[in-house]
Amino acid sequence: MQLGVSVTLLTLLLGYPVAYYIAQSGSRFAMFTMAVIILPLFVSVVVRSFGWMILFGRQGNVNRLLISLGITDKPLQLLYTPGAVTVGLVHILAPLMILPIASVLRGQDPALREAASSLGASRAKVFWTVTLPLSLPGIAAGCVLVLAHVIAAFVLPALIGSDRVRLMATMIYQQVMTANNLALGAALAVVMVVATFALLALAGFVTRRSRD
Amino acid sequence: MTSAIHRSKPASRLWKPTRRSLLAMGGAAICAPYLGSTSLRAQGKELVVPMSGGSFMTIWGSEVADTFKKKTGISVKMVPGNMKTHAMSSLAAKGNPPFDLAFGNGDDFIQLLDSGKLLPLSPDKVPNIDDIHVKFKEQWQGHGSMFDYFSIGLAYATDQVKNPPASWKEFVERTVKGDFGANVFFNGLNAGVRGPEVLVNLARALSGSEQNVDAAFDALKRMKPNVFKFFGSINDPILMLLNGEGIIGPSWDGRTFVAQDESNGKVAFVKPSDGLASNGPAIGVIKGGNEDAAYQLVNHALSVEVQKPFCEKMFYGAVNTKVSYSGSLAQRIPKPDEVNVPSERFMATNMGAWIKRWNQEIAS
Repeated sequence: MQLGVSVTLLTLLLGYPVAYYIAQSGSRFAMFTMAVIILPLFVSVVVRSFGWMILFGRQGNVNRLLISLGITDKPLQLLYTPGAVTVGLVHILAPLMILPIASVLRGQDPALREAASSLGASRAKVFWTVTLPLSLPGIAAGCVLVLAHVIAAFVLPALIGSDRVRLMATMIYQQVMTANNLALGAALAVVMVVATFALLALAGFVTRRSRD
Repeated sequence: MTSAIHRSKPASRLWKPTRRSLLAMGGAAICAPYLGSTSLRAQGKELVVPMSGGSFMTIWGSEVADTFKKKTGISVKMVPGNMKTHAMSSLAAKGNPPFDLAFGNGDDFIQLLDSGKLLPLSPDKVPNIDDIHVKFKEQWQGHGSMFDYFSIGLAYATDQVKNPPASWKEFVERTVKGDFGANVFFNGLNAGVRGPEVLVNLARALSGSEQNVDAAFDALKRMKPNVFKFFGSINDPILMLLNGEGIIGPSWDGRTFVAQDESNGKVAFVKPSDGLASNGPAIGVIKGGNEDAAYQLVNHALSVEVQKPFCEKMFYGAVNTKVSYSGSLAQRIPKPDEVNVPSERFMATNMGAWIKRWNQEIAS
């Protein structure tokens, strides 16, 4: 759960500005940004995980950069850590946060922002009082999608994480495939499904509240 | 007066399917392959065998299945997939088993044995069973044998470790002392990386008894600060050695030999003096399948003519004692007396408790 919450918050913090730029900017670069976000979805999670293994390895680009900048004098253990799993999940799940938010932002009536501006609200106030509340359905959808995927994440934690990074999917795998405890594995699977439905219900509640 | 001329409605140009017609078509589609013909399996001309896939399946195909077909005319259909799933489907089947052979992990084999799904491998049906080393068949109560065996020893990066440990005991102590830095990897407890086998082998090496897993858990707790990864994939050890992530840890003999040859000696393998962890897939005949043909295939698979080329290609150990390896393999592949085959029943019985303990004491 801790990993789920941290990945969701990070993708929200990083993804909202990107979604805002894509939705509000009319420039061609915004379209290019959209393409950059969507294209990785065509690449398998396994391949992207191997990419992170190359970047985070002791002889990888990140360590070489840190050594060249003098931040460290020997390679750091970046791979097979909870941090590596967090970064990898944020990278893989960011599109699932950005796209729903961008869609909602694009659907907002610009007249509402113009009306607020014309009544003397600063740009920041317009954002906090008009844009952000109206984008809550997109935020809720993005958060649900990201959190549900983190709960069920298996491949990336298995490749760049370690035994110390335990997620629901890995626990289910452990009980079914290693302990031969089908009953407990099934029970954990039910818990995972119920948790996912609970998130969906919460997202629906938030969406209805924001419309009201 | 009412017109007596009956005008018939034009036939509909489009056929409108009804529920009855759809059900009838579906039933016909299912039955059609079986009408007027009998499958090869039903005629006894085909065996269905569970497989895991990859190079094992490829070489099993060429060295076992193809040679069997040439000898007997019986085809072998290999079904790739997850061995546990295959075993579960054999366990769940009532009457017509999906596979003719039981072939897979020991813990699943135990379930098949205890469920009465296996036939005995008697010498009159499987003459080659007498040539199998007792270590590889004794725990199957006459109903199975291992097909081959792998060995897990220590692999290390030759440019980083100049004086490799000679035993598991030395490996543990030097890891705890920090001789290898925080660059040691070790098996996770997943069955896929033979974690249980390595755990009980470590218990045996440290305390003399594989049942004393406390000794193994204590050792792992002491080693933990210097173990950067409890790996979960069978390819991880060599990958980590070759890309510089790790410098020493348990690894499979065959994969290490291949990496050693391909990397010009960048990695090397140590056979610990206190015994290598070993295991392998168990093979048996399932009750209710093509039993006669299955017996012939098991006998063929355990023969010297099949064991030697298969094991030499895979760098696995042959369970048939009459096999003599070619060239340098004779020195490389560990002999039966050098390996420790654990009790599957002991591991299966305690696995749940070990996982709980692993999650609390090691993976935290």
